[in-house]
Amino acid sequence: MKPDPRVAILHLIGFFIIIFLETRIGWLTFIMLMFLVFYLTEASYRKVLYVTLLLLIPSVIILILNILFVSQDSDYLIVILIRFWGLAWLFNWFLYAVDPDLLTQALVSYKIPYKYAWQVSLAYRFLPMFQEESLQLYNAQISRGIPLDRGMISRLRFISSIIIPLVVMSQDKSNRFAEALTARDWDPDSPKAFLNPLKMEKNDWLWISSTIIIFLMIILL
Amino acid sequence: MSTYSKSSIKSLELRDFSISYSKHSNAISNAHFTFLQGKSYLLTGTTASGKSSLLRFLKGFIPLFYPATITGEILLNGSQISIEEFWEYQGCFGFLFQDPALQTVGSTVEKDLAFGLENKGFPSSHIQNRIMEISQELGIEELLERKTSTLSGGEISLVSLASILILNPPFLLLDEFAAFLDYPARKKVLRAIKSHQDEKHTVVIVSHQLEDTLDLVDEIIVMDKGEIVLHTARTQILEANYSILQNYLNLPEIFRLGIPLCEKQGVKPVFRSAKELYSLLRRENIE
Amino acid sequence: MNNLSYFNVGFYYNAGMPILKKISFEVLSSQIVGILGSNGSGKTTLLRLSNGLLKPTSGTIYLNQESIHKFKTSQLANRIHTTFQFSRLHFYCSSVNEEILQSLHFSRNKKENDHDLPSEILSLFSLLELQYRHPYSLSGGEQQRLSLAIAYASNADFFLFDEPTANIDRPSRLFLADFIIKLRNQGKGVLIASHDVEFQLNVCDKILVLNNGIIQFFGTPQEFLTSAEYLKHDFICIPEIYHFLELLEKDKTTSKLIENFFTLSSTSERLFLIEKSLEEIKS
Repeated sequence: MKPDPRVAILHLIGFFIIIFLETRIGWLTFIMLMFLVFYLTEASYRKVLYVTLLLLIPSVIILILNILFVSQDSDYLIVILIRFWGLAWLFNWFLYAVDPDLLTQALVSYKIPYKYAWQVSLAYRFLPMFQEESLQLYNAQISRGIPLDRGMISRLRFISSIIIPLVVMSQDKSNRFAEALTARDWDPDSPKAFLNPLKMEKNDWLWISSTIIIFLMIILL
Repeated sequence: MSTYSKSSIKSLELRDFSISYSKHSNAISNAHFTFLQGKSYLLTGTTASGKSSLLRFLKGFIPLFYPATITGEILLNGSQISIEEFWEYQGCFGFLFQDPALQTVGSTVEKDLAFGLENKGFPSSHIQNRIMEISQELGIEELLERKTSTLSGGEISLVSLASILILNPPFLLLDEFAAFLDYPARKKVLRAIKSHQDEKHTVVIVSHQLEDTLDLVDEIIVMDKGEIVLHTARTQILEANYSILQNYLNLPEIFRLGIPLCEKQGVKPVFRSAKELYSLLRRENIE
Repeated sequence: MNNLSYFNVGFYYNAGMPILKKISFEVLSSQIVGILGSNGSGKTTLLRLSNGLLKPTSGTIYLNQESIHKFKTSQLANRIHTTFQFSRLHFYCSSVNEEILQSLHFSRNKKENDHDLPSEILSLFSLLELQYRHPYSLSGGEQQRLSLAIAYASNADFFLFDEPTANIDRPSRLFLADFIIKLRNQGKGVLIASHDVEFQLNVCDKILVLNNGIIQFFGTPQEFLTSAEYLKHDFICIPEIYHFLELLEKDKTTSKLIENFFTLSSTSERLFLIEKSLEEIKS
């Protein structure tokens, strides 16, 4: 069940703070698993599995760097890892749970000027487009014979065949998007209205109260 | 239907009009355009002929996104105005892109349609009414709840058309709109445009494909290298200089062969379909 | 003699409706096959299967009796080369010249010592004067010529084109048709996915009609036009000229007009044929 975007923002910020304040492994594990449950309610388990497996690589790197340069203390390392995984799940949940259009609306309701609120949701909107574009470029380049699909080394050697067009194209795309906005007579300073004003529903109050209860539990216990 | 633009454009004239992006070459050079309210125009020609530049200028993309030097006189409803004054009329122009997917800004169809009016600050009930009106006009009521990313090519073209028509611009500009659509989808979109066009709405279509746009317009303007090589009423297009048609246009074969056939038989080449050409030639033969 | 043969090729996305159902056909050297069909009929999917971007869920595609599925797409590219609808997706070098050199580098004829070859190719595509320009700075028509030059430099046996005629002007269209026919005359096989019926009928040796994932028709353009039932499909817009020929045929005693029309390629010859038959009807 998708929460109200305003609630989701509060939730995100609240737990972002908690996960850095909390140092007890037990509680951290509890929070981390909670994030996983949130994430699973929004995305398919395949997607969750895929994202989680992708996280293995950076987490190994983080682990090695910390062992080499910071500390070999096992408790410390576990805390670092839990925070990393927890945050990754938390942000992924947020990406799924909040519609970019509603995000603007939510930020505006928190008295953030429309101009900036819109920019945040714009960046957020461009993420999937970036992904789609790089896949298309990859397909086009291997189809003309650039050996991006023949192992890690040759992929790295020819990575410019994706990066360069991607930079050019994202510039192009953002220009086009600016044109599209102009075509709709968009003006960042003009008064705004919204088709569906945000309304808090029963399950949003549930979200808020559960967030507060967990918050209090962790602080008090 | 409500209009949102400040004023109406009864006639728009561009005299000795030039646009140049660099010092060396002109995108449009000393051309003369006249657009009248309630008429529809097909702007066609070779790739770099300046037709897109004209549309971009009208909607204000030039010089906002493309720095360029613009010279010439602008006559709006008969009186001369400066380029800066002309910008005030931007809201009168609705612009549709070649790739409709680039035009969507909302995540669902309903939100995408609402975007333009939300931006103008209209109350929610008004926006809702307009969405219903426009989606009924274009027959897309069933798409309203859909995510824009899941729409097919034909559907997204209709949605992006609706997203512009909802603002009810008196002047509609289509830049190679929906050029990638297949035949049935394209026919549907073009039909929607045709039924929207009336004495209050002016339409300018830029296209290479003549088969299906020819029927849609009143006048045809052919451009090459920034100059107008032909400006004629649709009904007279086939009587125009054949070499112009042959060189600059993707003329369907029926015209490529039909026009010289008519000329040899000494009949006026006034036909649009195989049947008309056939009866034209046969009648001549029977006599 | 090379051949690219499709044997019971089927494809569907995870738990979705099948996009292609058990398709079998063959493309030979010196043959141009045009795929017709509406959006979503599986044209693009068929091309993507043909160069290994997608793997069929059933069946096999063979290049000279050898399954293509054990190769990576980039390994296949110097034998089966694909040009996407948006040609600029293929560019990444800093100049037109370098794009050609890069393509020659990955091609099979490793004549890298042949210093004349790049400029030969550039002049073939009228790109010589543009050779130091950045690919992205070219106009639409020039970009398409560059993508054709890239394809040509790969020296593949089979060339696949996805919607090559979408939104191009008259000169580019003529250039494209000439180029594709030239490929055929050099013994290459060509597969074109497009809904531009007039282009397909004039250029292709075989027409393949895809509808709802099955092959509804596979044969020569003459057969395609003379088998009346296919004319009635509203998803394919038959060019008006063929309706005109049909009307003429009804008047005439011989019914070979459309077939004869096809054996002629130039406008003047076709014009002469129609005039002649008009006279026959008259007398």
